[in-house]
Amino acid sequence: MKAVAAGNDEAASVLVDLYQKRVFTFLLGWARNREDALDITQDILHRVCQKAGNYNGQAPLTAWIFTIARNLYIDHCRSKDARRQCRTIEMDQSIERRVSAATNSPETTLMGKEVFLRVKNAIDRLPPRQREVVQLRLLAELTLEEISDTVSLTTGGVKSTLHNGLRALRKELADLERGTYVHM
Amino acid sequence: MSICEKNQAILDDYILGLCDLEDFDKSHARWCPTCRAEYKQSLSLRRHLVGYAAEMNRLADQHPVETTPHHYGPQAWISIRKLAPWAGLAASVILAFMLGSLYTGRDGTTTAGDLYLRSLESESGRAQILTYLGRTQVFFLSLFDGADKCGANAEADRRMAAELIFQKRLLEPRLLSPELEDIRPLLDEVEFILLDISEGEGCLRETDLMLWKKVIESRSTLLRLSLLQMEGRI
Repeated sequence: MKAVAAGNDEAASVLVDLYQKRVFTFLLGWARNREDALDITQDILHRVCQKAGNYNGQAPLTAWIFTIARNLYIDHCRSKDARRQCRTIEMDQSIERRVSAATNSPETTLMGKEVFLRVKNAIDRLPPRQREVVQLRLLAELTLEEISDTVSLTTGGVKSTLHNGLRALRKELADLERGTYVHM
Repeated sequence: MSICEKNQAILDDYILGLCDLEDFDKSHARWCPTCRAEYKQSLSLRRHLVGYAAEMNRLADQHPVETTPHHYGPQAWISIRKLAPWAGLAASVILAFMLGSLYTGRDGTTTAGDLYLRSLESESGRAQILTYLGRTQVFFLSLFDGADKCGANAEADRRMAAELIFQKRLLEPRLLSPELEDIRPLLDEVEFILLDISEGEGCLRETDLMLWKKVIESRSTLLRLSLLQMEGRI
């Protein structure tokens, strides 16, 4: 990180390459608006490079980056223009179209569009803190310790928030289990 | 904690990708309707959440973030340059302190770090850097020889990445010399990749391995490491 702070563009571009997709995927799940997610991701990566000199190595780098991502997203939602978008429950149409296009393509898809939207909506309806830690685990693939550093909760707190979120998702998606073959 | 509660906790962790189902008590679940139902629902939920995450990843792939090169910190660069001689001195003091504290040994055991520090004392600066470049190159080559890496293999790779970061930091004072200045950017790039590998837990998944491979290939990192070793400049 010292190299990035010192203006080493190559080091900065390695940092961007390693983290851009994870940050963008996380925001895609969180922002509900693809353009917003893109803009904020670019802002975040720029901010991370600018603040690289402040990274002291005490927390994992991933947690440090996602703390910046989270704070910037919260700032974005607090701004007047974005307030309405951040509150909206409806699925962003552009994401829905993309899922539709992807599932209609000859490429092998992992799940149908309807199931995908059911799961996404169920996650979106979780209380904000539960949704945030579930997204950090599922989309950003952060470890419990990294989530704990990012959202300022103890590891135990993260685990219990995740488990509460799962309980809600189990209830919400109970009917999707049909067709699951179980052999013991 | 009852068996049912234990099973429930294992299933929750399994859904979140924190463990596998090895410890799930299947013999109990065969006759316990609650555990059996939870098991069935957990398999389904896990499948759907993994599918959801994969689909979101695919959407992110369809619209990659534009990355234009920026010059991120010109002012910081100037100040670091001014501080370089002092940083070298400070790093030497820290290195001496670390050597002292490691050799005093808390429990008398010899770690890989101890061995490396001992080899530092005997090797010349040139040989140390060459050894480091070689070890990093071999590590990267061995990293990409298969699909997902789990268990002891993943742990070994993470340990090696952490050790290479540690070694690179010990070499930093030597890299401050003007004739080696242009090697630093490459080693800084390498450090980021190593840092990303060393963090995290559980399996090293194929998607992560592919990302690191892509970053290394796009920058010809292995080739640049080889050239540095062959140039005879170090």
